[in-house]
Amino acid sequence: MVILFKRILVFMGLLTCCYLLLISGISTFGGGHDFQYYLRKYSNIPTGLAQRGDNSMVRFREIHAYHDVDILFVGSSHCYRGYDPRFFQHKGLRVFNMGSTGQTPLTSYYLLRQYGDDLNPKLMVLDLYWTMMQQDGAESTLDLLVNVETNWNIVKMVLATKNILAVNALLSDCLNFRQPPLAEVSPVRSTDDTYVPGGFVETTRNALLPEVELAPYTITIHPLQLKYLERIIQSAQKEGIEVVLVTSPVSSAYRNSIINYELWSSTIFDLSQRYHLQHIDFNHDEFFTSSPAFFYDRDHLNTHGVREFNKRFYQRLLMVPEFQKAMGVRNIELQIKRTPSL
Amino acid sequence: MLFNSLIFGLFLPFVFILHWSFRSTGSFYQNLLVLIASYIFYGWWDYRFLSLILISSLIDYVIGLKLYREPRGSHRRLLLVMSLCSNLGILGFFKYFGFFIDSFSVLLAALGIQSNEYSLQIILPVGISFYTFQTMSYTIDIYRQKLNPTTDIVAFLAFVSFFPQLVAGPIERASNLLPQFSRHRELDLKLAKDGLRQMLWGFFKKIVIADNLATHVTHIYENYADLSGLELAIGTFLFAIQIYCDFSGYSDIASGVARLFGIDLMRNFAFPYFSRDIAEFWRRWHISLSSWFRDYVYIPLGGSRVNTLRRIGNILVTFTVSGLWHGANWTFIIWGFLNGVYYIPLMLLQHQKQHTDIVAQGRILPSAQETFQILQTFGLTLLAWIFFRAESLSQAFRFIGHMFSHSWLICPDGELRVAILYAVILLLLEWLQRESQHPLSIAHWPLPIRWSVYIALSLMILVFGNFGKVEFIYFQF
Repeated sequence: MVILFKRILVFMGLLTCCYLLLISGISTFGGGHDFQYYLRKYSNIPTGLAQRGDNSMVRFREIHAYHDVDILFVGSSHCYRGYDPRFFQHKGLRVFNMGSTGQTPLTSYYLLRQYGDDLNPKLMVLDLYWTMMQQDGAESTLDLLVNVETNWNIVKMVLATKNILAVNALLSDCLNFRQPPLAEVSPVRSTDDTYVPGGFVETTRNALLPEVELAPYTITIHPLQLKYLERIIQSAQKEGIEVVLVTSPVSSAYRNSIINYELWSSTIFDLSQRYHLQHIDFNHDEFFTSSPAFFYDRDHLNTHGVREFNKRFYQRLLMVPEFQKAMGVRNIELQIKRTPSL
Repeated sequence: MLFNSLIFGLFLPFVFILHWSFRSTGSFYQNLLVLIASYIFYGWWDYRFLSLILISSLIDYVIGLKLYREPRGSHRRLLLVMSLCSNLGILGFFKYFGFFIDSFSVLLAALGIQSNEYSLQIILPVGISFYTFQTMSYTIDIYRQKLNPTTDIVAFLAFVSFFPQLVAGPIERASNLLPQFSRHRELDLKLAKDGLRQMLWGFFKKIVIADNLATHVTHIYENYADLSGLELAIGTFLFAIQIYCDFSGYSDIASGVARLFGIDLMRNFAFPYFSRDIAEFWRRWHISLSSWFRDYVYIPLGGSRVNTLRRIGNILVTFTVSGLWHGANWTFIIWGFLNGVYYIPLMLLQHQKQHTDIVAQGRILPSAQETFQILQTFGLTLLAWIFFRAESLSQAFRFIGHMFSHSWLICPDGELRVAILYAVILLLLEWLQRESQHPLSIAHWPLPIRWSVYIALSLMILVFGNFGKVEFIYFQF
């Protein structure tokens, strides 16, 4: 038995070395564009899947300048494209938008472990999107791996996804010897988006979404994401941070294509009941569901949409007990007096 | 617990170390450990059904002993009937209750009789088709006085629940497996290393080939109405490779794991797609099941010792029932029946035992005649697989109709070409090693080359493997 185990150990060691060499070789020397494309498409090696230097990098560099914020927004692209810090700053609130591409509760949890203490929010707005709730978190992890400094917390996040693509992305990032350090990377400019300090990304895409019928869509909830969402809520409540759950609006065509929206509603309802939270679902708000004018694609708000969304969200937030508790009743009374009703 | 899961990766070495730590204390403790490990393995899926496998095992253990004590008389027959009824009753209830109720309702509706629909949400216990057949063969062999029962209940329970083959076979015979549990086992390094090689090959087939092809097959079957005839034909071909790699991959892993414990399971697949006729195919595909139906259904019905008409009937009944074994759906029944229809001409011409050797033995390439025979047999099995894969008979017929009525001149897209490449690579590797027990039977190759092959295959699994938790197809049976 000892001989067998020795042989297995030697084999595993050799295999590990070959594997690391392979990942390092591919990530360092890359190969041509076509090679990278086919590798990305047909293998578990994520060459060029995430862009280094995009808005995630800027956000997670800027985050260090924010401490003791009033509101922290957490979520996916719905979050960083939906909540404009300038609007809330105008209301006298210090906010930070910690959304990122495809950010799931799993990745949010680890990001909060990394930045939560410094940010120390009074209120956390968790922007929930069902598509993120049915993934394993690999997509978000790929983006964060190339745009956030790798540390033990990030490694734990990668391992928590249990996804080989994410693990290979981590190995690629660590073993790419031609890659400059993240601190030396300049932000990539985009013609469609502008990064706004505070974590928001403003889009210039304002074309009206054409009315189309979308294929039927079925929501499924990944138990892993639900588990991490609960962990976030539990940790926040333990720290005395108030939490509000929000579902941002999507286009009516998309909303109508979902055949089991009640699963989403009931799941979040159960969660909010269990933890005594408010859930504001803007897909029940006729203001957004009645017109495609607020969206530039099926589920992202255009500039006009963001403006209206922030206004309506803020109105709803004023009435939420958690917000009142976090900000202090007196402040809220003043805010309500100053804010025109809808 | 799936073979291709992290938890199994931790479970196996732990059980392996403990098992061989008991080698000096005798087989009893080894068997007890195997039994506990097997129940943990099975219970990981759903602990509630542990009682079912225990009850089924105990019934046949007791009946086996009673049968042995009654060498003759009608009481023997009664005991056998009790065993068959309990096993088939459990199987019938969990697997076929809904199907028979639905079919009966449809029949009544066709006759213009309205029936109150009675539906029951019954969970199908994983592996039930396998272990009930395994225990039935035990009591039948004792009844036929071909086997003596065991008095070692731990060995018997371990034989029934042996975790490598519990959920998807091979369906072992007591005459092969039980003596291996009864005797003292020592670690056979050669057997263990070959077991590891076989596991590696099984994982490659399952994770790289089967699971990657699964996505394409699902897409093609779900959208067949929008695709060309050629794409549907490719989808059928890919499904044939997918189901082969999925099922034989599992069997290879099961055999490999068993060998780590000094147990030799029966061979379940012998490169069936290189068969020259359908009889040879059924001697090479799911061997444990086809031999079970031969020995316990076909032969008791009279086999080939009766007149021609009855022989044809026996063939059709045997194949149809084997189709039904696969699932509670008319598609499986038709699949089985179709294979029976394929078999009949061979039987009538007495050509069913024409090809018992390995095709193109000692040669690299088959002859033109052999190539034609292989392609012909493969084509017949492809047609039958359409029924196996389809959700319903109507879908199967529409699929076939669409395949033959739409264009075959449209070039398949890049992704389909890559999928075909996976299938071709698999067939090529298996062809080159068709004279071996499994393609990685390379113990005689020089060490550096062997290890290079192991590393190359392992890297292919890590780089190209689909780890998206695609379940083994035969778990549903």
